[in-house]
Amino acid sequence: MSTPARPVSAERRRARPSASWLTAPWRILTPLGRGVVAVGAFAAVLSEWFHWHEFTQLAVLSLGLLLLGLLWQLLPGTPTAEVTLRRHRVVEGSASPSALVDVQAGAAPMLFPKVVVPVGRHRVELRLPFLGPFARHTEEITLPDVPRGVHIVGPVTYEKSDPVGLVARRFRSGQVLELFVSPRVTDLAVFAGGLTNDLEGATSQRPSMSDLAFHALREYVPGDDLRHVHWRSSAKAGELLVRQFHETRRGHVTVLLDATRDSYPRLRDFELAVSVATSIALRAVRDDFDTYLRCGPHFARSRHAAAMTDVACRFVGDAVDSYQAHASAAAETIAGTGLVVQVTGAARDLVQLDAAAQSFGRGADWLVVRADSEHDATMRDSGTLRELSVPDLARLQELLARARR
Amino acid sequence: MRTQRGASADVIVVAVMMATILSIFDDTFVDRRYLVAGLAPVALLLVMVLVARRFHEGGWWFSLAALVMFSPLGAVVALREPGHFVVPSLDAMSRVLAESISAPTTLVSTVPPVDSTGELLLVPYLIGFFATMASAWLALGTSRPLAPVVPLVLALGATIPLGVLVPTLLVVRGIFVAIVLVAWSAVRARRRESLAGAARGSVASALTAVVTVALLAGLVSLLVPDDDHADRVLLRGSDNTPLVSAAASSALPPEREGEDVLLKASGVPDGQRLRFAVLDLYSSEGWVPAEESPGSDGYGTYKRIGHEVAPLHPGRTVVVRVRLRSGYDSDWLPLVGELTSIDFAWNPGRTEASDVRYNQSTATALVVDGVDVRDRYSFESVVGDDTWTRRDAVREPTDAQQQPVGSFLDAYLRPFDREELLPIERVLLLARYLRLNGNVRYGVEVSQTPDDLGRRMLGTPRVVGSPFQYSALMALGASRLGVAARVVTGAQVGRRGVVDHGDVTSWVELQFADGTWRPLDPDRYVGSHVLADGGDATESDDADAFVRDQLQQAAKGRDKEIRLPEGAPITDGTAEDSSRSPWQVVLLLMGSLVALILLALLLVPVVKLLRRVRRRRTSSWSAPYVNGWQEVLDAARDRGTPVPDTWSRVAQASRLGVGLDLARRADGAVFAARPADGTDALEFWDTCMVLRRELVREVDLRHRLWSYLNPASLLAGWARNRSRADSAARQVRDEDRGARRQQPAGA
Repeated sequence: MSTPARPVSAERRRARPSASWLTAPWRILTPLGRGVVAVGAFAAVLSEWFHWHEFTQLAVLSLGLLLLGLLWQLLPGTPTAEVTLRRHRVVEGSASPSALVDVQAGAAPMLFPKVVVPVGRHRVELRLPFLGPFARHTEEITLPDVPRGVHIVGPVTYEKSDPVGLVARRFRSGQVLELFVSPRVTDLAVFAGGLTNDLEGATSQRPSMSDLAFHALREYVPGDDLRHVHWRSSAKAGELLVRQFHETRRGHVTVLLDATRDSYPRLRDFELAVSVATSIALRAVRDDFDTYLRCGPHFARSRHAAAMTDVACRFVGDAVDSYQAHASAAAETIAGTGLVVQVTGAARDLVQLDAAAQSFGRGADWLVVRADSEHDATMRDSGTLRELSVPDLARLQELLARARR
Repeated sequence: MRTQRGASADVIVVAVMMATILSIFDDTFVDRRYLVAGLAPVALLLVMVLVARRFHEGGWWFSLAALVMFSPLGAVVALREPGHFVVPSLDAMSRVLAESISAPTTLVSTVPPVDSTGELLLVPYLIGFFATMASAWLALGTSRPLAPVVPLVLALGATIPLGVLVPTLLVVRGIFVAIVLVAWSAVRARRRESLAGAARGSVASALTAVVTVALLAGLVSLLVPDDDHADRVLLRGSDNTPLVSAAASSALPPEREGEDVLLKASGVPDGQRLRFAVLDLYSSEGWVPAEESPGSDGYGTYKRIGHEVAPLHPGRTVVVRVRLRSGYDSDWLPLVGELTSIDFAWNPGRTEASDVRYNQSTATALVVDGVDVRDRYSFESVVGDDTWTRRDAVREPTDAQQQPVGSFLDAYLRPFDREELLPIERVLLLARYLRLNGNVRYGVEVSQTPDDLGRRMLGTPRVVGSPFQYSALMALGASRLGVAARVVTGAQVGRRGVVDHGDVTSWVELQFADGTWRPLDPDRYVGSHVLADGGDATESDDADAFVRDQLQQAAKGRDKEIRLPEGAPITDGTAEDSSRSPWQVVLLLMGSLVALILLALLLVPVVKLLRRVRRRRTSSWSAPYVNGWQEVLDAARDRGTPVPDTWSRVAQASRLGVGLDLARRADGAVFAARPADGTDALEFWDTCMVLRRELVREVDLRHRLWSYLNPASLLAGWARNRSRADSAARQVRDEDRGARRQQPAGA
């Protein structure tokens, strides 16, 4: 299903700078059109100087084709097009997603019209069959393989071009969609008890409609679960009363991913770190932990896997080292986290990691995972600190299991 | 598969284009061995490119291998010196390198058709080699559409100036080259597209591009016909100016004491004279032979000749044998008609064919370092029809062929420059005046200065001059009176073919519209009064009175050469050409087309207004809702943001970014169980009109103005109506189907 992000509106058209008017005649020429104009001009010069009829014909033919191309643009009939994604979320390296392109022709027939669908930095070009006036055609396309990230798909661009292909105007139609390409992840074993310090179910002051510690009775309101109706009290009171509970504190896992580029000697180490962090976060979500995943300014706090993978799509490296500030911001948001996992590269100093971990207090367990594709897997356990060095994603499960023993 | 097919097409196109370009030399060489020399490197290089691409070798390897092949291949296919075991010698390969520089100059310095031998075949070889080397690699090594076209265009530009002035199939070849180059580029551009899925319509698109280019090229050939071949600029070859200047003094062979016989010629047709030289340029000192003859249509330079020379005009072939005698001391080779071949095979003198420089326009030849008195040669030539009448169209002289306006003869020519006469009649009138009133003094007086021909000759009451001066005056006067003319020196062949100094003569040739030069016999203009030494010249008639008298006679129909209609003066043939040029026709058509389009565009707002009135005045209770919302959609379409008709009104409103209330109101009214209130319908209509105006105001000025003239909504409505009419069931929007069953929208 598609989720339209923002329509292409008339405001976009108005946003074009007025200076582009000056270069508009040149811009509507295709590369072939520009070449033919250059050859035609060259031929015209030779024809004028030397009166060579062959070049006169070539020059006039070039001019004629150019005029034909310009006149072609006056033909009415702009088609409307819409792109629909089969899936909005894919995993990097998995089968390419497909999309549906729905085109409705305009008033004029179109001879094998060319339609372009932008996908991030890529383009999917396709030629549609001959379309009669106001004919409709739906085409399924396979999107190109794109790296991890959030990629803009659309709007559909129709290139109105003359039969020779010298002049082309582009008409954008349809909406802009987002394709989430999440990082590769690996399935980790269940976090063992004892790794976190708050799984025993300590209560909070926040009332909840479904928990363990009873708090009070209140009047029934439509929507309340009938299982929580306290029938005996309701009978006494003559109205429906439901039980209210104290919310039990759930296990919290905080995963901090170092966004600083200098922390990673190699670019692929950062991608490995994103996969590691996402894998840990997904495991925590599946274990029903409240999970906080953060990299730079992008973070997600949820118990849903989709939230973790979606935010992981947006993680990008940063030239400025603001790891400490982001860790502090996370610590202010999360209170009483049981486990802090810091995922970073080989170049990050342990002292800085320790300083970041201090923000969460001494009660939390501290796990450092370094993504280092050039060195062997290592594990170091020094009391409160467990430090892993992961050379590839496949080794993560084994190393993490050893770290939890 | 697609790549292989494209590569095959590219190879074929390069080969065909090179063959087409090289065929420009078809009139330059005597046979088609030049094609072998030119196409052999083409074929070899194409194979090398295919092999290089097959093994994914780079351009440097291909270029290096091609350059290594240059000399050996040139020695074999151009110089035809294969050597032992088809391995050319070092000497032959060195010649290829050395003569590659001089070959183009030698080619353009030779009168076509040239012999397909020696260094001349290096020219097609060079063009074929270097153009194919670049074009083939760019065609197969890159995907840029126009990259391989550039070397072919450059090859075309290099071939044209080396060929003849008017090659066979000039226009057809030009159209073909233009079609193939542009269409090939278009197909390559299509091939470059990285399309997802099947490449739909590639053949149809290519055919469409080819047909479009071909149709336009056909139109272009009609619009820009090659009316003037003469202005085509070709390479001129070696500079013969010193040679021609030196030969000017011997245009009339000087007399030698005691050696009166100049030559002996046999085979000269009756009525024909031997030609020595043509003086076609008047300088301040007199008539001289021009290094490049004016009005010669590009054929007027002195060039080498091969075994054959192509005549410019048809005629009967004659074979003439000439044996020079000791009295002939000149640089000019006596000829008759237009030369087709010359043979010095049994010549006891020193002149050889390679020493001859021939001018096709003047049909004269001169010999480097002059002729030898012992020379003996035979030649074949073509003798055309020399006769003409007053009805034959003449060619107007170019600026180089006549004196500037107001120059020395104009004052004396004014009586003859009558508008009511044809140019040829004015010339005949002048000739008749000179003939009847002139005095001739035979001698060696050849001075032709403005003073001699003007003040002392035509400007005096007693016209006196030598026959040569009469020729000079007549040619100069004819050019000023509107007929290009030149002076020719030659000789009448006497009995038994002997020519002596007394037979040397001069005459005037006039140029006609077909480019031919035909003689004006000296008997027509040389003074009839012969002056003996010391004799007095007879006094001439007044030129004005003479002309008036002649015209009166002509008006009475008593003149066979000069005609005047009785009563009124006739037009002089200089009336403006009323026929329109192709460009004017095209401009007129384009102007009419633009006017029609503008008129149609101006009618669009009117039609839209009428449509709006019709939509509002309908008697249907649901029509104000349906039509009002359709007005909103039409406004969106006209401003350039159409929304699909098949969407629901709510979806359409969402896409347009307008409130959903109107769409829901329309839906509610259309799907209601009973008709809505009439005032509500009108209020809805008015709201839609307000929304329509807001939509138009949202866009920038250009789109706003265009929205009023844009016929898109009219065409869309027409298409909707047509599809409804075509279908058996009335096609309506899904959500309106129920409502329309109750009451048709058009009701």
